[in-house]
Amino acid sequence: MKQFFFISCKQATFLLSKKEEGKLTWMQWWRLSLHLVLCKVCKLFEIQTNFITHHVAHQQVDASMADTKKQEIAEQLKQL
Amino acid sequence: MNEKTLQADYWVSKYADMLYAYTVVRVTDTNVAEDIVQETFLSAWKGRETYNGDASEKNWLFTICKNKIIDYFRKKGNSLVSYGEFDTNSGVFDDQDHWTNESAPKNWKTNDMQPVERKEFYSVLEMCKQKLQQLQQQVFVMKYMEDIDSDEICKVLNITPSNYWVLIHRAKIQLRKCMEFNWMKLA
Repeated sequence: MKQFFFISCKQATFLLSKKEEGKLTWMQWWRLSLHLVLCKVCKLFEIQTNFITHHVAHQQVDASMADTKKQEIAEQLKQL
Repeated sequence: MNEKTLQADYWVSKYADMLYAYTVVRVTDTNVAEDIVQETFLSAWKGRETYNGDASEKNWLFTICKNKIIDYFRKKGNSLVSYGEFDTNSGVFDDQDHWTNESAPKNWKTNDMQPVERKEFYSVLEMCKQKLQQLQQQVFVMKYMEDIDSDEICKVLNITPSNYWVLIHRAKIQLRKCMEFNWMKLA
């Protein structure tokens, strides 16, 4: 009976990614939801990974291309 | 100077850094990023006569660039082997598949990030992303930076869905753990 209702933390964290794409069966959804209510640690995992994935989408770096490469490209374009 | 010369210089000075910064956080390798930007300019330049101007010039260049990035992942993905059953998460879960004490997520103080913290966050994130196994990294970038759904990613990288879900699961576990260890240390 216990096996029927409860999933492990490993399974729960695995199912979280499927949940994002709406790819859970009704039963998986139910077991995951129950797990997240009972397990504060997995709930934290969900919040923190969402925080990371939300921010990574907007990641910006101050990177610039080497000037020599830029010149090379500009020259190439002019030859075309 | 003719118009063509002017336009070439203008394009490169206006868009090269923008496209490069976008590409390098996705592909990591600086040489690869430079090559992708170069190819982007060449394709765009050849097609500039046929470009109908529906999208802005910038968006049009970015669309080409994104396609080049995906092409790169496609080629690269097919040459990478997934570690299969090799469990890179050993030590994360115990034999009951519950969190081990040292791996269990701890509370983060992340209410709202100040600009300075944001900068730190992104540099730690970049470092942690680079630590991921290559295929995990690609899957993660495609899903969360390029917003491509899992079915499409499987097709591009020629991997099975079950392989995909394992990769994304591991990527998130590694990344979160790495962020907790390295970013919280700074906070």
